[in-house]
Amino acid sequence: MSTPGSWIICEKSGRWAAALRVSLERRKHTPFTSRILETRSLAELDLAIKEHKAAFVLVEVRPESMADVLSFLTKRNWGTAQVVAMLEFGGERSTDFRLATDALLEAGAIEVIESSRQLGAVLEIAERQPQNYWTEHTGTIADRAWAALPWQDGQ
Amino acid sequence: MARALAPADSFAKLLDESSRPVYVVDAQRRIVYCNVALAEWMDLPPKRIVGRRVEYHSEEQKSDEKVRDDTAPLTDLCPSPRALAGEAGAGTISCQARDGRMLHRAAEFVPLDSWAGKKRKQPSDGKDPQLFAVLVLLAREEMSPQEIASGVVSQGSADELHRTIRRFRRGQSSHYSIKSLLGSSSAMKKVRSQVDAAAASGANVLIFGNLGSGRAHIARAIHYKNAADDAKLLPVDCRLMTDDLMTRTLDRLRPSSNTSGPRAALLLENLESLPAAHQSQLLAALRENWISARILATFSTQAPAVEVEVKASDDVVFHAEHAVEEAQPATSGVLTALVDLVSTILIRVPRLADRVEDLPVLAQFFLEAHNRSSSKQVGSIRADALDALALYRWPGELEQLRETVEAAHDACASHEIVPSELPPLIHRASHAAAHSRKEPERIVLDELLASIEKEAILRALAQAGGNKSEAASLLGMTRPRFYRRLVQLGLAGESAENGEATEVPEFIEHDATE
Repeated sequence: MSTPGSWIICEKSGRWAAALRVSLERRKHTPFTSRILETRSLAELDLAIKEHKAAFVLVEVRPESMADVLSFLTKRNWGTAQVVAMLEFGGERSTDFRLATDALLEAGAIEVIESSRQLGAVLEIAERQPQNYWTEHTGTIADRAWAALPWQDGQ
Repeated sequence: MARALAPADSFAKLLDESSRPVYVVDAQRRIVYCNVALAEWMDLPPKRIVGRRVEYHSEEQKSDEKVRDDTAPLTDLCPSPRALAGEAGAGTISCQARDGRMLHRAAEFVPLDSWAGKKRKQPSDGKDPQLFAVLVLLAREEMSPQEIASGVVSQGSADELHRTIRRFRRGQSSHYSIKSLLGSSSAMKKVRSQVDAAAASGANVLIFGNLGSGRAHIARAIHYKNAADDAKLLPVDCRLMTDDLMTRTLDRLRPSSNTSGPRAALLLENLESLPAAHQSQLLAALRENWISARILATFSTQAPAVEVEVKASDDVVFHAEHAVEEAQPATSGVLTALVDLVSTILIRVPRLADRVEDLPVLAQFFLEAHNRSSSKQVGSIRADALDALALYRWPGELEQLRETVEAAHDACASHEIVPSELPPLIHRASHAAAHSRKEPERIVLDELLASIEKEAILRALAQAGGNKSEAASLLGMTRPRFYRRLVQLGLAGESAENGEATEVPEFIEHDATE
């Protein structure tokens, strides 16, 4: 069953998960709960997405894992989950970065970031997801009917 | 005395005598020079090499015909992206021998910048020098398999990244081929021919269809159809658009001063969901040519549809339904303008429920795809199970079919999926289909009310023994109004309205006297 508000992070170090926790705490107005699942390999990530098909996914990409991540993204069998790629290329390789970004976006990542400072922009995108995905694909008929009514905020 | 050669000619002559293959690629990725050694290595005359493009992104599986075709790009001669971006470096260049073997040689890439060669001084405006060519020098000997293998390791991430992206794009081209648009229904045949026309035209394309119907797959098939097109594809889901994402998307499509590659393609998924502010931003960017991109857009047809006709070219006209105004009435002006701009060609994706003849091949495709990622292998779906699938209306289109087949695969106890292994949703659809719904009765309200009034008047007259004054009183009506209604309902002639006659139908008189 899908769990709205789940974040799944696939990375080696745990650095991005820590940054995400801080970012979520700072944005207290975030409209969904912030459950973060950490995975350490693409195989673990695959299993986690099967359990949480509407999750928001952050996946770390290193030069040596580029091929595997591209292959993972192109499988496109993870339901409504959205994937953001986090580049860990190091150094000043702007050409490599641009090439990798283009390929990852083309493969299906909705955004590519290279710094945890860019997580704010990712949270903004994620906050649009509940309106667009989770309400469409989860909840009872009554929930969906209620969500479709106008003047939800009482104005 | 022999005439002295021009410096360029003498330099070319020197290179021609070199035993090392050498060639030069200009900023438009065309080979502008190759020496004899390269021509011999490729087993092609120089005139069939010079002038051809080298491609990096959309390298196809190599075929001898492709190399021998003078118009096809020479993908394997493409310098590394870094070299094309102005960085000197080393890598590997390959070509296919006549016997089909791949030959590999180590290569050095030397970028040539314009201000260094022409103006002989650095530009005063501080801009980076403009790349105008890359000189490629190949080694004298072929690389051994061991050297190739060790080269992959020793050249590190840069070359490996290059190879990885080439493999990825090759896979994309294959995965999104027009053949992958499965189905033999006339609707899908039409879609395939439209995709063909759209790919050949290079025009903007708008694809209508339900969510999950494979609209994005069709857009990608259009993009990847042209093997010579090495432009990047940038997909964006408009439902997730934020200010920041919009800015970054437009930045990624701004024509770079340092590259001159082909036009990129922007894939806008769910265009109808693009927020109004971003619609205006995108419209301005397209109208003012701030970005250079072909637009491929998908649009939901779940709102009420209006038939429109758009001319793709003088001889190709596509009909499609669109629901622009219904989808977003508050912003229809901008959205309509945006749709007009991106809808040079319109393609309508048929609903799965409208092409159930395609269902067996689609279900089998999803089954085999799931076999590849599962240890359990299921061979087929039994005919009666396919019949049950055909009864369902598939609001989630192909995506829902894929999920359904995967669930049935997981539940399958043998090599073949049977009806009992299909999800409950499909059973309920079968059950509902077995009990046909009663067609709801239709009424015309005015006629129904008139018939009720007529019945009440007749009963009142009967009750009053044919006395109209008393009948009017029973019905709570004045005499003039009662007479008017008698005439209007056809129960008396015109004179009755003036109270002059009491032409009550005979059966009433008869009833009244009984």
